[in-house]
Amino acid sequence: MARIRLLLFGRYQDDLDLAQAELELPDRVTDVARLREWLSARDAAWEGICGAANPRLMTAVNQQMADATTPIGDGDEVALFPPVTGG
Amino acid sequence: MFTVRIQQDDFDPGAELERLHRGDLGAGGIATFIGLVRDLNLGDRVQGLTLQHYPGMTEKAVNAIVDEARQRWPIQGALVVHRVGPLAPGDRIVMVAVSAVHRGESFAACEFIMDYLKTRAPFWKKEQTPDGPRWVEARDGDQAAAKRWVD
Repeated sequence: MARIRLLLFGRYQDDLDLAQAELELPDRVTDVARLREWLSARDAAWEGICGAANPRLMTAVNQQMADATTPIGDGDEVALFPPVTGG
Repeated sequence: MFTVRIQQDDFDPGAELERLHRGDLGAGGIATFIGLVRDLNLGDRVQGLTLQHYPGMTEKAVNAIVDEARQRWPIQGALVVHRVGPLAPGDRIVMVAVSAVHRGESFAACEFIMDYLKTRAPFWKKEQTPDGPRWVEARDGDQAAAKRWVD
């Protein structure tokens, strides 16, 4: 079973009152799209961030920008965040 | 010289520029941009803001942006200093400076780095307003500015 470290930034950190968590993934969760689907099923707040209705969600896997097809495996660091606003 | 720094502390733009071109007699000019905290956003007074970032990824993302600028233009040097943490109106947030043989490359690369910083580097601003704190929303204009460089 794959274990990942999940990080949240920006507004999502406040929305979920969570900055980071260690998660054990079910076997079927092997990429970013499936992770979003799995997290969306938790409750309305997670659904609001990870659900298909939020196309603005950005993801990074092991500190590199990721997309829906980026694979996720044991030991990975996965971050969820809104569009960036630096500069 | 190529430098990327993420830091809480303020910086001295003059000293940064001096370091960027000292010893580089091939550089014909430097284009510089400095971003500041404004006291007004979306019609509301801004008393200050906090810049959050993703430690570890931020440095990699900014270095990747500078590397891409180096592949696109023959630049002599580049500097990116980006602050994080609590800032007040008037404070410097970011400085980008690019040295090149001719001005065209330095202007273009400086603008490219800023456009990509605003859309690809993991920073988030939270403003303090009289009505309480609020996260700053990304501007569509910033996305459009970054897209210009794709074609």
